[in-house]
Amino acid sequence: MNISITEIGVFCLTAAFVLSAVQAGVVAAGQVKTMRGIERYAEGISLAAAIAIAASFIILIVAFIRSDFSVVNVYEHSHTDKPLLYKISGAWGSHEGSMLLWCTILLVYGALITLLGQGLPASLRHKALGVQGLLGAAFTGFTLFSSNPLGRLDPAPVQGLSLNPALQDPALAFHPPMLYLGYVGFSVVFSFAVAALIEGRLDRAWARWVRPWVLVAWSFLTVGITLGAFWAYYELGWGGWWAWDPVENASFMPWLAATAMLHSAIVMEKRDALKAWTVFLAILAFTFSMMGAFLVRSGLLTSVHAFAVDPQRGILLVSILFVTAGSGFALYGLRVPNLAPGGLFAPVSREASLVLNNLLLSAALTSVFLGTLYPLLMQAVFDRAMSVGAPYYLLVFGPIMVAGLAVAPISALMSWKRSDLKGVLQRLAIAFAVAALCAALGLLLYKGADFMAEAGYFVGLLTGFWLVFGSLRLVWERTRGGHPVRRFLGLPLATHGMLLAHIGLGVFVLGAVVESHAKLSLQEVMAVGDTAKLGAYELTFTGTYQAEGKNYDAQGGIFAITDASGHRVCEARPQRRFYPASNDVQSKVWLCFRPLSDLYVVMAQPQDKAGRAAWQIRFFYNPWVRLIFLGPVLMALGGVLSLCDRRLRVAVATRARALKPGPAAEEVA
Amino acid sequence: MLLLATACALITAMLVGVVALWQRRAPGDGLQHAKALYAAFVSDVERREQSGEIDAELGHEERVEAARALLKAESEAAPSATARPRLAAGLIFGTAAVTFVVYLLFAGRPLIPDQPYKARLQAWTHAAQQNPDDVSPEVLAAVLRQGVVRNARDPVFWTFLARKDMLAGHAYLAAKEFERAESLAPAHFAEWSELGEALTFISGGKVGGDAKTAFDKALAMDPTDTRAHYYLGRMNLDAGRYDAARADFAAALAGLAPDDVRRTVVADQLKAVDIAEKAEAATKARIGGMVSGLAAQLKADPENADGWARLLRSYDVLGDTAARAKAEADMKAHYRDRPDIAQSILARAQGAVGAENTGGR
Repeated sequence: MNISITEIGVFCLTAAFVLSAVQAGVVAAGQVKTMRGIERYAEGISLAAAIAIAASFIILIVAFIRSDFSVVNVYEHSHTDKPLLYKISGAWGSHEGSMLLWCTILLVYGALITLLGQGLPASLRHKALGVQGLLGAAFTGFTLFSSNPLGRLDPAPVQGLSLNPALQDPALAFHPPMLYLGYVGFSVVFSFAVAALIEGRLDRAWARWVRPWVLVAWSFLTVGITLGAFWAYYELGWGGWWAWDPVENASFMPWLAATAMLHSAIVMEKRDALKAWTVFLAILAFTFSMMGAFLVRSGLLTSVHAFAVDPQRGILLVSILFVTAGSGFALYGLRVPNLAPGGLFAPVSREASLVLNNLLLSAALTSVFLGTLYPLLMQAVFDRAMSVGAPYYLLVFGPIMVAGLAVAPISALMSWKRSDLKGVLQRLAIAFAVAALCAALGLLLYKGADFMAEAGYFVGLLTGFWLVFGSLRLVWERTRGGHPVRRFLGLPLATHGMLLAHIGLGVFVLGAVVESHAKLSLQEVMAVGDTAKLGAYELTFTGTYQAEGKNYDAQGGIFAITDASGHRVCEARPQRRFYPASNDVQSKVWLCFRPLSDLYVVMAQPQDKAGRAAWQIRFFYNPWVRLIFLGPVLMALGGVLSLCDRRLRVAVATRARALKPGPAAEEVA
Repeated sequence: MLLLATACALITAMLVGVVALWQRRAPGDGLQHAKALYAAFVSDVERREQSGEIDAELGHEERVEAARALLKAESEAAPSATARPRLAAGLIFGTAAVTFVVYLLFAGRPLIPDQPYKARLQAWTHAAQQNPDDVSPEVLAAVLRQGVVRNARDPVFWTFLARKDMLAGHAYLAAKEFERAESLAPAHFAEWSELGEALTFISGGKVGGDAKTAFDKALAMDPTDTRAHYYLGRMNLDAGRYDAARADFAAALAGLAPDDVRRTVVADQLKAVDIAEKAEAATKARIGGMVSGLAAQLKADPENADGWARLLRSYDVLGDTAARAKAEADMKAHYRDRPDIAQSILARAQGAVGAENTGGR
């Protein structure tokens, strides 16, 4: 007699739902005088809920690995011929599975509040756990009752329907977990914000406790968005990496809000200012995260990112979004007038520059928000189809971000409370001159379509180089005066993190500017023996080949790429793969690796060319495109470095001591 | 069910254990904990002050903050939750009961066993060995596929697998497997019409070039091959070659036994040939009438470049070469002083339908 592991998974999911609800319940009950003390159970319950949901998620993965088609989700998104990695990633390749991943991360973060938050005041910790419990109950309830990833099918079909081939890719296997670690990480920040608003205590210590969680979520989200962009770049075969798709924007908006919050929390921590603003951003970041989850599941969007159209689930999700975010903002509205005003500071100071940074980031966020939701609202209200594309973002978002990025090196060199702008600018003059020189050199090598294109290119390069050299100037200032290496290594990790993140941002900007302005492309119908020219490169179609994968048959093209001097640069072997299980064809891009740039070849639809077998070939030269993906990795590393700084780990670092009262405790008492 | 209930009870006990262990580990006295925490906080403030990370003013403010928080913690000092065993027991019992009820009533399907593919394949293999006729083609194909490596060089195996896949509706796999069988023993391969059928299925029911080649080879080996005649008949019907289609379907019908259920399908196709032929004749007559009208209009008023282009194109579509040649000659005669217009009419007549009226009069 066999035991059903899948049913144990469903039971664990049910337990996670009930435990989350109880977790919220005990915290609420603990606010009643006669029940005081019961809220302490929220800690242990959060651990139990995390264990239960993790078990449920592992069981779902096991069902995928074992190709158990009695699970609807496995039947709809897997196949016995699928490689193991994609069997595993199939667990979050569907709406149901990804919701379970979301819930798992949410509840594990809740458990981390318990495990790592022992240095926090018990009252705040318990209230945060209560809010986290409410969120957990809402999302696990939604998953269990409307999107059960372990729902059953009896009798089980012989074979599964397989996973969309576009999702069978290593970058996409890791993209959703990273993205969700970011999205859901903001739930902790949200819970702390709501807990602090309930407590009526919003001070420097709160900012210091919350910042590590923002850093964790921000770093994961940065990696998640980058992996998604990288996947879109080399898997979808369109040669681009960002299309301002509403779903992409949905991941970008919480990132912008979190970036603003990272900076405003510094001001709050150092100067006890921007309290209301910081807590607003905390609520906003998670609201945008939930909005991202809603958009891909609502049926509102047709996108490579969107799950199956299902308005009913969309309504349930939007209800959760409205209730949670609405409650957060309502509480904010009630409590904010009672918050003690923050510290004052001079208009020229680091905190003032960080306020400016926040204003610009918020303006940028608003521009993305409008560009994303306006077409959806027009469609919903007036039934008018319209799209907002790259030109809008280039005109509205671009200039705001340029201004924001221009402020970053200045802000990093300013002093707290009161600063000398003229002095800071003088100190940065050399960095600016070097950046301008590099940008001018770049402009000399570029031939734009018109003055605006050349101006945009120059400003973009200047911004990127300014961020890099401005940050390096700070390094130089902090390390001069003998033993530069020792001084550099002795800098606080948070400073290293900040520098790396700013340099990473500069690297990204340089990549994005050069790639978008100097990119070359051609599209031609080519048969074997044909040649095409793209800039200094020549592409010769030398032959075809057949290949067989574990779950696909491929027809490939062999292309010789030579440079202007006739030297062979590389041999490209793009493929067209046919996946019999899903009856889908997928073009597999070939990237010729250059240190910073890519030669990118796609073999698209077969065509007839004067009786010869031919294919539509897309050939791109993407200069400096690697920087687009390297920059965010540096930024995320910067986030991790900052996270390791002791000052940001006070809550964790003091835990051991806090649990063992020593002489200092007696002194305070 | 009993095993599942036991497992769920054990999981519940384990989860309760986690909660209980954490509560035992957690400090019972909230105030003592708060004191320890703020002492650590104050010593950290002092450390930062001494190392120059913060100035004295900020240090003072942070100490005041800590003192305020400590006072608040003191006023809210709560009794230990572990000191309420009845409440704790009620909470645990209630949570466990609700979990079981929700699972049984709303979420679970406890009577459905797990069905991992490997175990099912073993069961199917056993069933196929015992009584293969009771096993569906899809299942039989899955069972056979286990022997792919062992029988990699056996054309009979591949042919058999291909037939099962074809019956299971996996035409692509079937075509690949027939081709594999053919490549292993080209001299003995006799399943050309089956390969052609699989290739026709892949292209959505249209007989493509590769399928036609396969059917031709099948007929070369056996001129009475019913399947080949049937599909070639369909191809000819689609192409408007009605006599050839009729001949193919008749040959297919002749090759089928009187009680063969497929006779109805072939007979229907044979009827469809007559219907399609009549429909095409009627359409041609209607178009012919319209074209005659246009020709008459142009005769009365030849200064109509667009009309000439449409007329020439219509004759091309109808395949009436003689009428087209006469119309072209008439048009050229009319525009003999304006050869550029004549050329543009000829160019437009060769363009796609609808392209001829891009020019004016």
